[in-house]
Amino acid sequence: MEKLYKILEGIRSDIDFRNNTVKLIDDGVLDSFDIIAIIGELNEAFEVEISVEELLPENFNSPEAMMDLIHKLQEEV
Amino acid sequence: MKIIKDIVGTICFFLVGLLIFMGVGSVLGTDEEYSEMMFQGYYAEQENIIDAVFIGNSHIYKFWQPAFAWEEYGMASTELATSSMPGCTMKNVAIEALKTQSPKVIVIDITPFANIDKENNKVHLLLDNMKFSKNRLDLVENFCKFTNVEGMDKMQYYFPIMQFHSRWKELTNADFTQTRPSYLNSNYQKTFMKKLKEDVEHPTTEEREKIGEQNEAALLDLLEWCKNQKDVDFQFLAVPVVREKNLGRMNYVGDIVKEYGFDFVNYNEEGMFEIFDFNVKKDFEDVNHTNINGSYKFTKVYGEYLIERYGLADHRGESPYDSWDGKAEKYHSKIDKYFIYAEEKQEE
Amino acid sequence: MAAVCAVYFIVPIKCRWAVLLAASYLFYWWNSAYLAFVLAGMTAITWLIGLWLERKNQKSAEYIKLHKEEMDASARKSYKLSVTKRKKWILFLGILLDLGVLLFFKYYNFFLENTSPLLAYLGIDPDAFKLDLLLPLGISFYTLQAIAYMVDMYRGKYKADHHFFKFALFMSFFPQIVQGPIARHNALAEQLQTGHAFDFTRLKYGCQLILWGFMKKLILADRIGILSDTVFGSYKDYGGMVLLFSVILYGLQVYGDFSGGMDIARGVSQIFGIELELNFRQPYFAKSIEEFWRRWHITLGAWMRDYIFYPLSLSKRFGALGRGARKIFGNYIGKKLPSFLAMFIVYFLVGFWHGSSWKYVAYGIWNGVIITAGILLEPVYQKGLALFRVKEKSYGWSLFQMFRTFLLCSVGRFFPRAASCTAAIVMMKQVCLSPQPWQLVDGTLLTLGLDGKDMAVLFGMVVLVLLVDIAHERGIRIRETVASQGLVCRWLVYWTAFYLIVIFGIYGPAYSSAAFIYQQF
Repeated sequence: MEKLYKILEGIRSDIDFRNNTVKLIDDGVLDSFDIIAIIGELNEAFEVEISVEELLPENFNSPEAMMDLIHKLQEEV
Repeated sequence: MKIIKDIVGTICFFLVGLLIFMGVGSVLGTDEEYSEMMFQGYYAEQENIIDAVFIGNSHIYKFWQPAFAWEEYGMASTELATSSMPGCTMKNVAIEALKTQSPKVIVIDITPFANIDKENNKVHLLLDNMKFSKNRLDLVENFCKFTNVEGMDKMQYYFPIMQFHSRWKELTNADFTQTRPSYLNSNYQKTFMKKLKEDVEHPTTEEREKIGEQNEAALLDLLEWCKNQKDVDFQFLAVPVVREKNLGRMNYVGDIVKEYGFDFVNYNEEGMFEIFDFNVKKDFEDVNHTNINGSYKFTKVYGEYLIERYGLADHRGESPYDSWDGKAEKYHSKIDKYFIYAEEKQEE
Repeated sequence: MAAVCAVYFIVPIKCRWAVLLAASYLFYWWNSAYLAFVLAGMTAITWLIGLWLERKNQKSAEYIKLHKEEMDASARKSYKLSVTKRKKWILFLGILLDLGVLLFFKYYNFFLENTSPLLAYLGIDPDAFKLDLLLPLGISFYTLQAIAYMVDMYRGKYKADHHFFKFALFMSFFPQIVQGPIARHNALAEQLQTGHAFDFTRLKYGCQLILWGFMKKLILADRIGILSDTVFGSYKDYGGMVLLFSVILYGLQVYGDFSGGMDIARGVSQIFGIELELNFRQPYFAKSIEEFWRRWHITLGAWMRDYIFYPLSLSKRFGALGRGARKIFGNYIGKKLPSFLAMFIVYFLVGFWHGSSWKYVAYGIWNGVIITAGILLEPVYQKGLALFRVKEKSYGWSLFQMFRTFLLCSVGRFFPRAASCTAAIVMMKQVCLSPQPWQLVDGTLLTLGLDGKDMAVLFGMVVLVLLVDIAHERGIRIRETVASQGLVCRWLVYWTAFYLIVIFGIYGPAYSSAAFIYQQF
């Protein structure tokens, strides 16, 4: 989890991801550039392959949701 | 309960809207006052007291003055005439006239059929001042049929506001004041007081000139309708003018009218013009219209003829006409300054 | 419209969708007759491809379930890969067919023109192949809907639509077929297919939205239209400042026209109980061009994002490109390069989608360049802010950003509005080199087709739209607020709106008393 926070903060230092209460996608906090950057980092760091099919708002609305997605993908392989 | 409340609310809502619509319409409607006054005067008249109704364009309202006819003969006449009234609308104007009056005769001006320069726009002078009714919708339908207006272009005649809404820019105080009905529907426009100031010979012709397919179709439509009216006579009239332009076509229309067995009086025929004893310089406003002075002479002569032809009564002193003397007097207060035969009239 | 509405609420709830379908095809037929067959054909293609893809999805899932024990991870992976490959071909076929229709109708002549030197070289006369094609109404919109549906099927996002006629309604729903919003099957189809009971409040709200739409269209957009037709029709006669003024107004015209159209579409749908997606969210309050495109024509932006931008930037090739670029340009640019490239492709397509002419392509690229510049200049801006001690969250700075975006956005509109790309560039030059600012005050503005009174109405309407947008931005729901007022106030608002349209709208044959001056007959 800590690894995820580090990545997120590396991309958008202006957002407090640890105490986040809003929906990151639905409320427009992260834009599509951020998403692409985040996915790139996550793929490398967690050795997963997040594909277009997983690009649903609910998978990226919070750091927790992203972590769940990563776990799910890691299990599948 | 809720449903009833909603329905009642909706109905009220639209009624309010309709009221505003009428208000907006009357403010934005044509700023041409005389036609409005004409219709106001007509609708304000007591029912079934008129003996002769005149229908047509400026050849009616610049020639026939009901106020003079009343003073001279006690004749109860009125007119429904607007500038460039299209021939194809005259049937519906006659129907409108018969709604509230039961005249002995309807005099129909034939120049709308003899005139082939069309000014479609001017139908608004007539249309917009007519009360809303099925007849008004029929009028639009007829007008569109005979002038080849189709599809969405018809809308501007059904909803005149489509055309007039852009008048918001040129509104003046006059648009917000209620127009008064005219005095016995007699004319007192400014131009009507002008003089031609030159002598023009009265032309005459025996020629026959075609009036165009649509005009002819509209004329036949009118004549067919007239044939079916049992309680009223029709007289078709061509007023005396000193311009040659439409004379050939007037003759052509006259032939058709006579074929149908209706009366046709053409004051431009050989020898007819002279019976008015016009002084063209003083009695005409332009080559196509008499002015206040000429209209006095015309009304006198033609009125006498009508009374004789249809046995119209002298209504002076009768109770439904109590207000008529007063109205005629008010009319004179508007015109006497310009009316050169006023004294002559007094002496009689 | 009233008739459709009446019939809709009279027939049994179960068949209400059929009323909408019939109305949609009637509307389409009335507009473009035989081109309805194009729509029907595309509907059929899309529907079949959707079913096919779903079957593949189901079959492969069943297969894996059945052979769970026998397959190890790598076998499963290779099986999945082979299925995906086949699905890809099906999807490709579907997109090829749908897109082919769009390209043929919309871009055939454009391609012909642009390959004419080549054709001439080959001894073919390009004019002989020119076709006088009528563009099927709304084809640019429903093609995108169709593609989105097929891709979603490929991705297995939701279930395919098995009922052909219900699916046809999704493709043809009349309020939105002309200008969108571009709908997603999972958001719209369900709403269309289930019948809705009559609801008086909804009817009222729908009508109000329609009224507001017409206000924006007839009072604002069509009024500016007169001015922009004058100016851009003979742009060489005017100084740069007048051109700038006009292009800014033109931006408002497009906004009034397009968002007004959306309000009408949404209002009509609302009467039937159907919520269309929001297509505009106060776009002129955006603080950057990028944000602008997230607020302007939202459904197009979302479509481009989901079906072009993400797949492109997440594809293996783009990933490889990023890694390569990082080695050459370093981390900052390297990381951003694939996204930028994808973004450029997106804006190129957005521009091209707007129309078959190079000027639209230029318009797309203009947007792409500004966004790139904005992001690359971000550090510079930060430094500048720090230098002048401007607070980033301050009101003034936000206002400045909005104004900057509005201006950049407006200037970009020289491209789509001008007759050609060259004309647009000439005008932009004019703005810089020959501004002639005195034309703004010497009365020239009143010779552009709108007189002082028109300008006053225009200004009033712009202020009204601005106020409404501010209210929306602050989360005030105007219709609800009005509805909670007393009767007199409510009716006043409604009828005022209606009569503002009736009186100040630009419609019908223009009238002036001059045409009625009393003539001698």
